[in-house]
Amino acid sequence: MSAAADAAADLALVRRFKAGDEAAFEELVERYHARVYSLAYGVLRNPEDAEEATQDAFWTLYRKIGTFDDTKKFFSWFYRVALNQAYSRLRRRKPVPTVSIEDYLPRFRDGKPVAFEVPDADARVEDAASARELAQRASEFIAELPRAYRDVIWMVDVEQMSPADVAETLGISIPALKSRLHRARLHVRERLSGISRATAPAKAASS
Amino acid sequence: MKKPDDPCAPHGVSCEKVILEFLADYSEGTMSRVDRIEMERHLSACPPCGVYLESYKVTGVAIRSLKPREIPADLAQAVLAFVRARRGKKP
Repeated sequence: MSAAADAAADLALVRRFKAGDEAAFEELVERYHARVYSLAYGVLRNPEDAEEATQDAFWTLYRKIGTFDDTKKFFSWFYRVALNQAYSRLRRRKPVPTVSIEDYLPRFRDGKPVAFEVPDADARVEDAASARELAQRASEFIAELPRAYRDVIWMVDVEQMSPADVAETLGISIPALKSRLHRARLHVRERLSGISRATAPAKAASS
Repeated sequence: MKKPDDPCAPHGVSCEKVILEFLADYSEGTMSRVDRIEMERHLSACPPCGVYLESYKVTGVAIRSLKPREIPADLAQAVLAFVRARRGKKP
């Protein structure tokens, strides 16, 4: 279904629901529960919490649909609701320390990048366990980012949402989105290369 | 202006510009032809930026691999049950 057709289908359901049609709400749950769960998971990193945040988001949708402006895109309004519910739940947990986006920017020496490799492009990706470990570490390094960067990299790179949709949901311009996305990726790259440096000396010395 | 202390200056664009500005568009294939040619000229003369580009790509693969994740099979039903229970409590 095209984006325009999706938006039209959303709008039709929202109007029916606003008019009191409960079946339209059930269809919205069917259309959106997986995406809302994935967004919540990106914030909370825990299946139980993500499921509860998903329920919170739909309960808010149920109660607040009257405040949604039909001239706007439904998905961007509802994704903001879902993110806010997830962050609200996150605040009730023990805080996870975040880092400044400035802390792990690329470093240059005499104008050249200090370019340590990330644990391996070829051999380790073939090794499923190592690839999983690399992904797990990447996930942790995303989690430590400030929210403005974390939401962008999770929605675009992990959830594969279109940059235009993410920019609209977060209320930022496309250039601002691209800038945040790139800086978030650079952060994760820099942190992964730190693992490589911590584990690689023996290998480097023997080669 | 090329920085006099930039060893890549004779090859045009600086390493900082390559990494901070060009890398994302280049790795996604969304760069203009002119910038891409300049980027490739730089990469062919600058091994550290080549290493950086490779590690940026590996990072992207690792991040994208986080996507396959199971959605609880009964989630939609659980959501509806939750909303019905809450609605029932409303005065």
